[in-house]
Amino acid sequence: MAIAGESFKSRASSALSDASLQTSIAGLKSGFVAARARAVAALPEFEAMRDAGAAIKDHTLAHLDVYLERYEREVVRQGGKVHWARDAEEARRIIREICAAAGARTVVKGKSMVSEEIDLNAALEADGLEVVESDAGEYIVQLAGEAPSHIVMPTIHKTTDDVADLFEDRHRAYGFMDRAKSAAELIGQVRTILREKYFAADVGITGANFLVAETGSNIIVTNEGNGDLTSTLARVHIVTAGIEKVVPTLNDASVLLRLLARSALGMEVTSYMTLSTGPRRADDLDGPEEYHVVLIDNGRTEMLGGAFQSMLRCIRCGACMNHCPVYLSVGGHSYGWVYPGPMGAVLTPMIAGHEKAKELPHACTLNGRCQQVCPVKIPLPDLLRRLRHQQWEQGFIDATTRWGISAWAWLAQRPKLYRAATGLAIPVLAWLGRSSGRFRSLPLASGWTAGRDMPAPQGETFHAQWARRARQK
Amino acid sequence: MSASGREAVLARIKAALGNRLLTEAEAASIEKRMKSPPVGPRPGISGEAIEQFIAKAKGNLFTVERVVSLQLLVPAVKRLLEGVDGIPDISVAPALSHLGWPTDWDINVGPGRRIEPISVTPALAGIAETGSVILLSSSASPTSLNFLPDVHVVVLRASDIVGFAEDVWARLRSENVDWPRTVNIISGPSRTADVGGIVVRPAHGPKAVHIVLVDD
Amino acid sequence: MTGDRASQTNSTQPRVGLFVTCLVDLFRPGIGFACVKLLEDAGCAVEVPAAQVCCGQPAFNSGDTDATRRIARQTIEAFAGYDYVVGPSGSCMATISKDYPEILKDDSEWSERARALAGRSYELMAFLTDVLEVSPPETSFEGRATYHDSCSGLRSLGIKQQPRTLLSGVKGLTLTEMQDAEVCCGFGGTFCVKYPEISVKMVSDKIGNIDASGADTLLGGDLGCLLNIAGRLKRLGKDVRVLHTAEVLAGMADRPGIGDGDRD
Ligand code: SF4
Repeated sequence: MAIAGESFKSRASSALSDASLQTSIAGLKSGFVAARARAVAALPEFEAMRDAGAAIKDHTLAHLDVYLERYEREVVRQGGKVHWARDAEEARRIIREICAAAGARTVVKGKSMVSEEIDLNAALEADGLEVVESDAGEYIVQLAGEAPSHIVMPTIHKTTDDVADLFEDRHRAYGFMDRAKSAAELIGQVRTILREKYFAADVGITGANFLVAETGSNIIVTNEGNGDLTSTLARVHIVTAGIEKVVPTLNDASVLLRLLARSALGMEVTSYMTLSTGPRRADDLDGPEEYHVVLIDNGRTEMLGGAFQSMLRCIRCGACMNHCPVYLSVGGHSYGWVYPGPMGAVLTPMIAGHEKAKELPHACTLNGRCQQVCPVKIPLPDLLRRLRHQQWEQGFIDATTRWGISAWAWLAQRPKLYRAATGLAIPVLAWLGRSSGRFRSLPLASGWTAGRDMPAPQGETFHAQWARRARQK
Repeated sequence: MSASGREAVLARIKAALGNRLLTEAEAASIEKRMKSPPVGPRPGISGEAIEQFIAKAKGNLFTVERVVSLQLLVPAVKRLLEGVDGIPDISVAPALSHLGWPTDWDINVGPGRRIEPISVTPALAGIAETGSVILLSSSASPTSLNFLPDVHVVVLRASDIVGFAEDVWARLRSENVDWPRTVNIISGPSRTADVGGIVVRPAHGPKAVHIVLVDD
Repeated sequence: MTGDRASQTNSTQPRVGLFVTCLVDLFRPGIGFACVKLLEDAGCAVEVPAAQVCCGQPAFNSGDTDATRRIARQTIEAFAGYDYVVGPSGSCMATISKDYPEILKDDSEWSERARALAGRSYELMAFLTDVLEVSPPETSFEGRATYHDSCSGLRSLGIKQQPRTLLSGVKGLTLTEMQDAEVCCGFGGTFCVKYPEISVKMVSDKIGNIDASGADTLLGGDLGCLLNIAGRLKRLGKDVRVLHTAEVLAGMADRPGIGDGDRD
């Protein structure tokens, strides 16, 4: 998927006038925010867990090479293979080669954000493979030719009617001739279609919420059970994972799993949490014959060891976007790539570079609600501000803003001059606005006055009045 | 191919972390952390583990039935099938195939099938914290039986109920078992809310999970 | 004007340097005078160093960290020697107390001074409640108000209860909590002019909540947010008064609200 983070503003503008989208996101706002708040309120240990979760991630990242090598050793001991990919291109090549070696025709996929990140589906389809997403939400956006608009709930931008229209059009091929009327019927169609696909699949690809160095396992978390059918029934199981997914032990994973379910969905647990370790054992009755893990860097090592390392703590829970008033206004597609909301506004420029995502770090009020809910305490506003600083230093800030800020900062360092200038201008503005108390429009302030009046100054500046008061004393 | 990827990625990681060797103290602390993994903060358990397990399991929309011996499993499944027309067609994990299933039923002992009305499989443990059951894959318990059936019957011994997942990990470590291909922590029927935010059960897996809790 | 420093203080009075904030200086000097009154009533000697302009946040949030450092050093210098630095804005005071030490931490000459200043800098409500432990001032205000928690004050400085506690003493005032009081109003400094459509959507959501609360007055502790909310309220023709909490507490709320004129 092409990265279009630089067209944030125009996408956001259409999103704001999309009534059906606005209705869909409104549900997120009321439902998930409240559910998370209830789950957190019910757990006095939650703050301690956040600290523990952040500490586990920090410890692992500080010794990432050590834990990845241990993890690899365990995977190999259990009969699996570990592949390392420097970037998206290498990751795609590795996966295509595994599929080719397996003589694959049909690939079923569990939900994996990193596979979206490396644009895997298009590459496999170009090789002539049939690729089917199995998570109901991912299945729907794939069928619609869209990208997910949320990292946990890919279809949050779609209403039931939207899905009914889509299936009515596309599911005739499977013999569903009538329009489905309810969510249950629609999901029933997905279940029926996917059941066949699981059994037909040569390769099953899943992501990993965690990789466990202790046992060489990958952990996936779902409510649907699709990931399990994907990894159990295909002949070959491929796990795609960013290198930051590793944790030392099962106990560490347990801490993070408690945080994940509550932060993502406001639930104590999801229906399925599954550890997969290697291919089927000699006497097993099911399970894949091959088990591959593709460890993907793709920009992550550039965040390691520096000011952005905390971003690698991210467990992809989506809480930051559920609580982001900007995301909740413009939806996920406005961000132009696979990672939306606050975490995406950091990750997209970090992975894709500033040129492709110039706007994202600025499309934020730095209100801090994301940081307040992030289960691993990532200082997202601080990281966004650091990205703005990088942009300033590297010349990515547009000339008008640059000039404006510099001129203002120049004046702000000259209090006497500043006082003289404002001492003259403010009383004039105050006088002009005295009867209504506000302006409907002002030269150079259309950004403000397009949707708001500009309150008029109350009178002379504080400093002018204070100086006079001091003189009179 | 990937060998070079491996060296390159590891080199980048080491460079990002400052290319320094672990001190002896660090190496020792990592070793210790791996050998005896620390336990993080956890929710409290109210009352008896078994009582909380049952309450939480019901909250997860499991149905729970207590029986006094494993011999009562077959009658329990019979009751579940009451009112179902035709010859019962069920899948039973090999671990439970010896329990005297009715000879006039169709009994599949083996992995799950495309159409799988009901399966019966054994659990390793129950977790009181969350009302979850933990199931391991093995020659005696294929994983597909946990996901393909419409109704999944899980057999759990009351003495296998522990407080937390960490207790199960400790048990597996101490028993030094060959690590199974799959460990499933199951905490409810299959569900999704991906269409219009409306919760639908089932999605791809079982629509109902029935726990037969065997007192022992 | 530093000459008037310490002129009328006695030695037991805490000497407070008032950080006026640039928006209060320009748009609503009454808030500054309300601060002076509240601080003096609480027994402080209040002075206003002349060499202050702005905390530097617009530059900081735009990525110009160098300019921010220069402004920070100027502010640190201007407020050297006071027992406390107090300002009527959680946002500006968070910049001084959280960001200055961070951006100057590698500056051998200034890092210590930045930390020292941070350690004695307070937002007005927090200072009155947590440091001076004043009892709610006895004043009156007729109205049914709701309170908007501005983001920096709330999340960087933990300001939540303090203004509510102080307001609890105001006769005639009922405070009704609105839904999502803690959600950003869409101001965000330069954000509101860079992304006006999103900003207006956010402030419109805020106004929906103000309306639903049934309040006739909106109170808050940060003038940036209040200008934004008032600007949208007035554009929509809503009859809600917008005031800074300090104005109400100081008994200085008898003048037109923010964005209201003589005519209203
Ligand atoms: S940044 Fe934090 S809140 Fe956002 S997805 Fe990652 S872990 Fe969750």
